[in-house]
This record gives sequence, structure tokens and C-alpha cells, in this order.
Amino acid sequence: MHVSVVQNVLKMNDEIATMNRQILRKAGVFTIDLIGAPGCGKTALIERTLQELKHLRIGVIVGDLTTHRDADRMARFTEQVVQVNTGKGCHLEANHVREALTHIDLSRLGILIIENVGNLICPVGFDLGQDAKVGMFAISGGDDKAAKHPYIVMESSVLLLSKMDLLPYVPFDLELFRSDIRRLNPNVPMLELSATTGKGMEPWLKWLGERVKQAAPVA
Amino acid sequence: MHEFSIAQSLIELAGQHCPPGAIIREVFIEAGPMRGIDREAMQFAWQCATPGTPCQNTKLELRILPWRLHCPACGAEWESDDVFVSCRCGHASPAPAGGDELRLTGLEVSTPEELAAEEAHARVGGAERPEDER
Repeated sequence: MHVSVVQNVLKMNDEIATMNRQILRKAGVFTIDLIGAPGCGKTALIERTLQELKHLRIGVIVGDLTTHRDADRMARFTEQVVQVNTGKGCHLEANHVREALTHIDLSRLGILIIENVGNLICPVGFDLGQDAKVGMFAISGGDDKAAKHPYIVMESSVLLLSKMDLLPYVPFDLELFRSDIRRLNPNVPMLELSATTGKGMEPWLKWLGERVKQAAPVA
Repeated sequence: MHEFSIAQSLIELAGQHCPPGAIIREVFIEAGPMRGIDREAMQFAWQCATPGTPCQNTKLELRILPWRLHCPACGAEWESDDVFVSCRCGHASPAPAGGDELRLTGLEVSTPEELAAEEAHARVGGAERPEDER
């Protein structure tokens, strides 16, 4: 006998993500899911962002297979950091975030940054309850990475190209990279920056600041 | 590796949709091209994740959907396996749409009645054979 069904496979994850989203929105916290390959500079970007936007009260959930190193790095700049170790899991799922939220005082936050496990593929399909996905590429990763990972390009609310300070030393066709992105997601803001030198950080900080204003607590 | 998480969710979902007393034989899913699902990795994940579950010894039928493209210049819409293609009108940047589907579309199951009928058939067949040989 054939049983016809039409059901989203990740229904369970998506239901938990919806609960997370309700909790975060109610607390007036603007939440981003930062997704990028290992070594693209996610942690460095967050460190710099925490330093520059102290007044916005940013908390961080950081996902890695193992180690507490990222959380230790960020704990220098904020008290609200939770490290999630996924073991063998290549991405965070909504239940990881739900559990992590129990260790965070949301009433003291304006922004929550979820640093996903370094991976441009798996994390994109799992809703965590974020307001925006932020996709991150790096000059050192090569100019073909956007074209090879259309899902993150199409799903992101803003895209970052980091390590711009390395551009003079690495073969990277910036025009090609930009045109690949334009083709997949014509209207997404594309911000080119260096967390090391700080150059180009301003538009990113402004983008975040504007989102926080929109995420005022629900009465 | 997201294939393993998908397999686990799928097993749970298939179990929910299986009629009481029935045995699942085959599971049908569809995935959009944005999901980046690798066929071999998906089958491997299925083999690893299903033992000891209601989906043990089942076949996974995965259909990967094509990209749906829309040309902003001439309005043409079509399906393609490749996302970076030009439109027939010459426009070089057709826009992809959708593509993030990931859904269970059906199950092939053996109902208790079907199982009983199969068993009865096997018994009759088994009883007849010695007679045929005589």
C-alpha cells in the first residue's frame, strides 16, 4: 500500500526554532546566525564587534565540534557566552540553541550572535530561531566559494567578505565574486571588511545597530 | 554530513505516518538543489541510521529537484540542473527561485492484511509444492 504524505522533513527542528524565535522576540533580542567556513574569521569578527558595540549588550552562542577556545576568546568582551560542543555534529540545530538559551540572561541583551559550526553547507538548512542569517566568506577562501555554495548566498540577509586586508597578496577576482552573488541574490547587502585592521567594519556595525532598533521588546 | 540529521528526522516522521501494524518498505523524499544533498552520503546515512528503527531494511527513494529559473528580461521560466546558465533570450543572469524543499512525499508499506495474505500465500505455496513433486 502506498501512503501519500507531504511533510517537511525537518518539522521537529523547525517547531523548536519557532519557539526559540518567540522567546527571543519577546525579549526584544535581535538574533543572527553567523555561518561561514572554518577559518573565514567568524570569531575574529565577533570579537571586534563586541569591542565596538559594547553599548548594545551582545551575547554569543558559539558552536564547535569540540574545545572551549572560542568562548574563552569572547568571554573577554561579554559575560553572556555559551559554548555548545556538537561532538560529531557539523551544524547547530534548534534544540542546541534552546538548551543554550537557558544559560543566558536575555533581559540583559540587545543582540544575540550565534556562531555556527564552521561549515558553509549543513548549517544553512537548519532554522535556529534567528532573525537573520549572515553568510561569511573570506579572501583567503578563494573567489569561487559563493558560486559553489548557492544556498547560503540565497538565504542570507547580509553577506560578509572578510580578510580584505589580504587582497593584495592573494589571487582573488573580486568582480567575479560580486557578480556570482548578484546573480544568486540580487538585493542582498554585501559588506567587505577586515576585522584585523578594522577597515570596512563601520557598515557592518551600522547594519547591526539598525536591526537592534527594530527589535524593541514586545510589550 | 547533514544527511545523517536528515535521516534521523525522516525516520521519526516516517514512523508517524506509517499505519498501525504496517511495516515500512520504502520511503520517498524530495529535496531541492539548494539543500546540497549528496545521493551517496544520503544512502550511506540511511544505512547507518535505520537499524533498530521502523525504517530498518527499507529503501530510500530520493528525488533531487532541479533549479527553477526566471528570466528578468523576457519573463521565461524553466527548470535546469545548473544554476549558472543564460536565458535563451541572451540574458546572462536568470534568477533562481525556490529550491530549498526537503519533504517526505510518501511511504510504501505492507499493511497487516497484506502481510497476512502474503503469509497465507507462502503457506499454500509451501503445501502445494510437495504435491507437485509427486
